[in-house]
Amino acid sequence: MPVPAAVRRAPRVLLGTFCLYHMGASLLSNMPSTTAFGGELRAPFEAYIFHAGLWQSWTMFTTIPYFRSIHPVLLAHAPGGAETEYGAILPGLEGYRQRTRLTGLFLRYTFPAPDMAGFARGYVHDACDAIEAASGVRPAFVGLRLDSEHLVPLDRVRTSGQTSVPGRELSAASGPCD
Amino acid sequence: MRLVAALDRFLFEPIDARVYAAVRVAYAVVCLAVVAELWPVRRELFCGAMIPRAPSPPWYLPMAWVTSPAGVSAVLVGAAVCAGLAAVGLLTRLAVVGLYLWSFSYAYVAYPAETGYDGLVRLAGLALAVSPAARAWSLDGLLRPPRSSWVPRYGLRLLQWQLAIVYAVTVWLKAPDPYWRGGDLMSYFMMSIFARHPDASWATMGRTSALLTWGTLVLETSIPVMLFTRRGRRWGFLCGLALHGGIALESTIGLFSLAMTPYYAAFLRAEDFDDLARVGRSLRDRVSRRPA
Repeated sequence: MPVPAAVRRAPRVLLGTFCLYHMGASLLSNMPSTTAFGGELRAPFEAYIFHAGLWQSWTMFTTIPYFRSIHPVLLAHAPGGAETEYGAILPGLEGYRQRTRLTGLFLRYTFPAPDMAGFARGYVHDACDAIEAASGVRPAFVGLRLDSEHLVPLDRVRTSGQTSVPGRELSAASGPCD
Repeated sequence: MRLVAALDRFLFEPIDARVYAAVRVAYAVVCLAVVAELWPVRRELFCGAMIPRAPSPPWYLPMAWVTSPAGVSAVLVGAAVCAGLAAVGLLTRLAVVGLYLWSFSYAYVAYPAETGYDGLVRLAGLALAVSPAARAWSLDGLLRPPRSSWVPRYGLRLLQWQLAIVYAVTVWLKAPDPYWRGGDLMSYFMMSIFARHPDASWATMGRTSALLTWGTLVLETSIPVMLFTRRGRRWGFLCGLALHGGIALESTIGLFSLAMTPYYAAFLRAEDFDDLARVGRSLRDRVSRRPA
């Protein structure tokens, strides 16, 4: 018995519908939730975006990179007030080494966007544990400090020949060890 | 009905299976490069010490199941094996699905350390995982020869669409920035942590910086347009090579350029392979005719 045309075409229709849905989801996963539409346009795609890993962010160098170099360190304040520096790489508190991925990670931990704040606090909490394990004393406060060479404005580079000046920032995620 | 027919043609027009093969091989190379990049920092990124585990990851993500250094290493070795299989086209579907789930899972687990090229790898993996079985340039094809060397192009369309989104969104976000508008961005970039050879002399190269800064925006705007048109396609490839070749040579984020190659390969056509073969033959003939 011949298969009806509609049945023969069904897989193609389904596949085509999936492709269009996927393309819509790819597009709308870039839609910020701060527009007048809020999350309305994304809502039909939200579950698919999450379960298929379709989130995406193309905020690549949307402004200048502000640093010539960075060197993150952990600062531990003992309950008595003494301050000690440790390497920022957990769990062994090793010194930072320059790698693109670790650069991005520490910049996000030092200046955490809302979606990074929880991760950054978790990192500081884990740093409390690591410092306690290494020194035998639980610090009262741990801070992530980003020592850096900050780029200076171009006109200053032209006059001084120096591209950067030293800078120090304390991460907003720094806090007491509970 | 015309719209339906146009959509049908857009998604299901037959295309030479070698295009999928080129995309697959490029994707496998990218995945191998990312495995090599992640390997030295695997303990920091995936064992929960530097990046706290996000709650309730999807169960099908391999990295969600492992936190030990040995387990993380095993997953990365598995990804490298999948990349090797994908490159030679053996158990292709399984290998590509494995790579997609690996790339999804490492980006999920190490979200704060995610880079732009991780997104490219993950999204290309999904598109390839749902693409038709194209058994060109593959051991699968040798073991089970395909009935036709033409396959529907919907998987390539997903990649092409994604490339257009990448460029459109990045231009949308960059264009309002005063450094991009003022043409100074490239001077700062070439003195920064991301420059391969940071050099203060870029502060005095205002015109070069402005041309490169604005040129980047022009290329990012026009490349997708060129690639989608029959006459501009090869210009699109050349402009893409100039843009991403420059990024690869002069920055520390060369992996981004490499990760774009499967997306560009999705715009290839049968005639490109024929032309390349003709150029190869012509070069070989010239070399063989040269007097000893």
